[in-house]
Amino acid sequence: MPFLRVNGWDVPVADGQASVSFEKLGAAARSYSGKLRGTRRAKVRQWDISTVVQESSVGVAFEALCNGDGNVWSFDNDLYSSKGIGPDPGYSVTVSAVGGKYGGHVTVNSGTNLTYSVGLGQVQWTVLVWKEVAGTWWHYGLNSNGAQFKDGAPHTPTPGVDDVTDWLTASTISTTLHGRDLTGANANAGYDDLAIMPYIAPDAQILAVRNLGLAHPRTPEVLLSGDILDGPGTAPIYVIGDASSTEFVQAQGSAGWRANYREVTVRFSEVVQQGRQ
Amino acid sequence: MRTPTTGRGLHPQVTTDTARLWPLDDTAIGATSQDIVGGGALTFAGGATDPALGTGNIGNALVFSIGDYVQGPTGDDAILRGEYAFDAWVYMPVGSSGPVATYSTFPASELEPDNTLFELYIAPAGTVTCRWETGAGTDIINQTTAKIPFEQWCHLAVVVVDNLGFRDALVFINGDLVEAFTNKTAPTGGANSRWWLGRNEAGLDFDGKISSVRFTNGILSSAEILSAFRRGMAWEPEIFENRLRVVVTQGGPGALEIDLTDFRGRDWVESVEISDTIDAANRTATIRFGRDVFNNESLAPLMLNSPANKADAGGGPRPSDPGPDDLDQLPAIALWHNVTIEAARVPMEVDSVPASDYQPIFYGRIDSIDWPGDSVVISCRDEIATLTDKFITSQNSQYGAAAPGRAMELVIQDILTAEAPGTTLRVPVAPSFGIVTYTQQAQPIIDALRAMADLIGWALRWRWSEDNGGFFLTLYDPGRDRLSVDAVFDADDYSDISKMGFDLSSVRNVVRVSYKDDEGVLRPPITRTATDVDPTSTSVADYGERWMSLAEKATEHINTAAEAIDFADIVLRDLMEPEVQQSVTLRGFWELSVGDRVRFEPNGIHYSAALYGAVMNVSHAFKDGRCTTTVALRGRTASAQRRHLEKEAGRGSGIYIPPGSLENVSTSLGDRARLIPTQVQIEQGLVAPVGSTAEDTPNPYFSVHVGGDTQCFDGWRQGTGSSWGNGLDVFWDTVNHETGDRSMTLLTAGATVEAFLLQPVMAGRCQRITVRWMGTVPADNLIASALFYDQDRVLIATTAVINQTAATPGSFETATGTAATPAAARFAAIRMEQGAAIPGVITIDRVHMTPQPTAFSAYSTAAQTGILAGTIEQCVLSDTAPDAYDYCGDFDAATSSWTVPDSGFYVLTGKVTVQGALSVKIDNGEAFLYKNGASWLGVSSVAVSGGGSRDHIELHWRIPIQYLLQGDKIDMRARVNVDDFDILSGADHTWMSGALMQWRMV
Repeated sequence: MPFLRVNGWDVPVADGQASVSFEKLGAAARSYSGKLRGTRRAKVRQWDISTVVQESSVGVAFEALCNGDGNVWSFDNDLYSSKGIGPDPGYSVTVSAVGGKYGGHVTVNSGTNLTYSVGLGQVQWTVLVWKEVAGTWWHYGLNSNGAQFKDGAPHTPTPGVDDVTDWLTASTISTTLHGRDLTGANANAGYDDLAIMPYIAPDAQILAVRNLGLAHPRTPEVLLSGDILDGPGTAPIYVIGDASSTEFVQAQGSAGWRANYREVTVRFSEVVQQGRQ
Repeated sequence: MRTPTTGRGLHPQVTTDTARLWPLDDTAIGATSQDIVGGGALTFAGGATDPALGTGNIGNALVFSIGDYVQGPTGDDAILRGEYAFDAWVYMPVGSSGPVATYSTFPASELEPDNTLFELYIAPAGTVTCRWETGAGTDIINQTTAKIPFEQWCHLAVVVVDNLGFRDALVFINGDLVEAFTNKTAPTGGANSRWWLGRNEAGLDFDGKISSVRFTNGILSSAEILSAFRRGMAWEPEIFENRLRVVVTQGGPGALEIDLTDFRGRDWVESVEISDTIDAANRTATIRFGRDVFNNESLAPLMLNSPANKADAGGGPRPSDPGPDDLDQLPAIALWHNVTIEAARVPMEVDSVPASDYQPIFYGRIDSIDWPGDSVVISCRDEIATLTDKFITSQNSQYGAAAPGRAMELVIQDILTAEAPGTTLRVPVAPSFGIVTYTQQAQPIIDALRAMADLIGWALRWRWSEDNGGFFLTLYDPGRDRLSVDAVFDADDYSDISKMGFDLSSVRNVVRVSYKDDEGVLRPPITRTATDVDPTSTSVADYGERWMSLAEKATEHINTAAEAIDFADIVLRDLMEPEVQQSVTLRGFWELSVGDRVRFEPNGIHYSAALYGAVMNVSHAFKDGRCTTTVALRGRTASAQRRHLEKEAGRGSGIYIPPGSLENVSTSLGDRARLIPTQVQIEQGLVAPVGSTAEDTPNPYFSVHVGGDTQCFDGWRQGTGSSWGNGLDVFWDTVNHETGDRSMTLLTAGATVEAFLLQPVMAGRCQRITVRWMGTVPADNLIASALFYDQDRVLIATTAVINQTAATPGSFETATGTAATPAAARFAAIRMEQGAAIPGVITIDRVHMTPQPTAFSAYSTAAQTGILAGTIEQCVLSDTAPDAYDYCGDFDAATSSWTVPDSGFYVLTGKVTVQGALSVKIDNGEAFLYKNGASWLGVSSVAVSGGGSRDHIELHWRIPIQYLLQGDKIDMRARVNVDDFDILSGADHTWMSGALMQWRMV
């Protein structure tokens, strides 16, 4: 088991640059007679780590991932993103609490559109979504460079046969899931776990999401796993990250600042005390 | 409470049990309204039955008017015969009602005449009814006591649970269980039915809005219902953030707006804090924004060279892009400019927020500007400041109407119209309280208005109206007994509890109200205790008697015992229990306002059961990139707390300022400059109810009239059965008068007026009433009576003194008459009456009643002849004319004797003229006074000496002052020494008179 995984993505941590601390809520004070009285309400952990030097593109994506950028639609119970963004009016869909890749899913009725005007404010983006094809869920991705992904791997599209852009339209303005099948023909189309991220996700991140085995964590939360969780059990836990600083490191091949390597310092805070709901 | 109405709320979640979810987000009236769970889309029937489309709290909404509905396909929703839940977002404008949703057959099926399986209905009062039919013609009607709040989006949920074959129905409003109906017969039938929104089987129509509807197979837990409520309120803290706009405008509509969050390319605003408390009249806002930037761009008002402070040359309006070339200085920020603060609740990471997302949350005026540091700080009050700062200057204006008074809201509007033109009072529900005529004093407008609202415990605030989309001065019931909540918060919603406790200091459980009626008469005080308000209250038992007396100033408009009781009860209700108080800092929730009722979920540390409370103070801070709301709760909704305590009576603070004129002096209570009407002084025991001298006819010239035209002249009152007022029985006339500026008029048959200040009288003396009056027709009949009272001031006799018809209609004439004072009488008063059956107008310029001197004069009208020599003959004095000089009626013509009316010293004088027969010479005659039939005094003796013939002699007499006892009877007699003499008659021949010189009490 790697030391640290974020959303299933292995993140190498610099030596000596990882620590865990405990935040306690409530007081432990002594009574007048001297007896210690604990009134602690909760104890939550936080981890501070710094990565080893990473390529610029990976470092930028990791910063954004840890900071919780982007929106995720689980389609488990509704049509809203984890940050509350709902669809543009005029959709025609069926929401089901079951039958998705993970949890529920949405079925976009044949020939109709489900559009999210996210307004990324960024020229770079990555869209990931699970699409139902003949009863099977396939993981697809598309980024602002036009690169496509299928089941976590780079994908060479075949228009009219298997091309993401036949059923998904994405731009910096909006993302549309069409009621079309894989070939682009109108049909009721099932989707699940849509993620729109305002950055270019590295291949490894996309693959990790594909293989996570859980629904895409709802931004700004990320899923923390690995040996860093040495506490009771090693089940992944949800945390909110705070990538507070990045050091630029010039190294071989660093042609300019933009190409500099990066060391990212992040604090992950537990969302709820382990064992609580 | 406000609700976000920009459609940013979230639809409820779909679960595996969700049977229908109608988002009602239609963008056009089409064939159907989608069911996003599938299968049950609603149909727009078309034409006039289609509801309109509007913005809901969640996406769009259907806006129903009478006659509008949408319906689903016909079928069998068997779920409705089992366990199910139905929840929806509804908005009820003021005055609306109707069925939200029904599931029933339409048109009626003959096979199933009673088969409405489900109906959710909101009554005009706001109560919620969940109804179904059992198939046997039996309606199961579950109507809540709780009411949904109007003018805000409300989440309404019904959960029907199986209970051993029966059904329990649980009704939730805004995430809070308000009522449970248990063991109801289950519905049957209805296999050929359909869903309706906006109409029920009986054809009743809904006229509100519906934004999102969910129908669940099986029950929803209270947590799920709470979640649905919070989602619809855009109150998922991890999802939504609050955006801010601050707009300053100079002058009214159309003025150029300065958006401080986007002015000259910058967002200047650093922080905003909006505060409100239930005890204050107005909300306040403090805004901090950057003072300047490097390039000499400054918002400091005195930086004249700042481009931001320039205007077009020539004093034109502010240009959209002011610059150095604009010559005139026009500070962007100045006192009394309007400030609008707008907030938007939007999902996180929405980059550009459309203007339509912003809702005004504060509107007011700049009170102060400070810019010593790097920031400019302005403090503002909301628009009610215009009513707080402005005094009512037109003193002595009359407001209200004669009992039962003019509706409170109309009186408030009257004052606003007169003193603050342009301000319109909004009254969603009329209070049904009459204000009896009173005279308004100089005081801040808001104080005058709130004095009225406080009487019934209503609130008067500048309040947001969702129906009208603006802030309005609103008179409203704070909803002391409301059972529904506006919001539910749990322990994850707040970061800090800064206050949690009870406090006895403001508890009052016995309240006494002193008040005066509409005539200004002090009435017996009303004392109410906590158990009068709530028989189960143990406040007095638990905390002892905590007494308060409400000051007179606070009871200005209370005129009846019932009103006083209401007032006392309101104060008690707000103060009688030491309601738990909690202050917490929440995530920003600017929708919250004072008076809202909220529920806090148990947090396991401070309380273990849900805590209900009403917002007493609330403060919304937008600072450091965060929005926080600090709220202080108290156990129940109230109209005030500290302000009630302020009404506690302290020492009198009144300073008497004598009125400048007695012609029109205010009688408003609670003011400091007034003339207290004599009647009020009497009622209050300030003066004795009698005059100090017998001459004290009150206000004889009708020259003092207090309280404007609302009451009779000072010292006078209309008689029983007569009414004072213009066009009524008794009123004044400012045209026809001889003295002063007006006169009293009697306008109808039987109209009476009487003095209530009693004049002391002494038995034995008599009273003369003199009236200067005018009739308009000959039939006008002035009847003036003396009312005599005994020592206990009980009426013992009414003596008509004047009964006279108009001799010279159209001209003033004098009428006068006297009345003897009964022996038991100690006081007297005047009454005047119009005696004509078909009267004109009797106008009385002046009247007085004065005691007459104790005196008499009587003379003989018939000669007494043939009297024998030596006979002491009583003189027959049969008339008191021509001077009517027997005011007290003491002289009895039948016995020719005078009865002494009261003991004292008297002077008596008289004359007897006797005449002998022809050629008979009288040489000796004597006159005597007899007392009580016995010889008393010889008063005159004439002896004619020297002989000769004399046909008569005159016996003049005047005796020294005599002391006589009350009841002595005095008569005059004469004797002559020749036979056959006569006593001559005539006022100049034989007469007797007497007068009291000095009382002597015995």
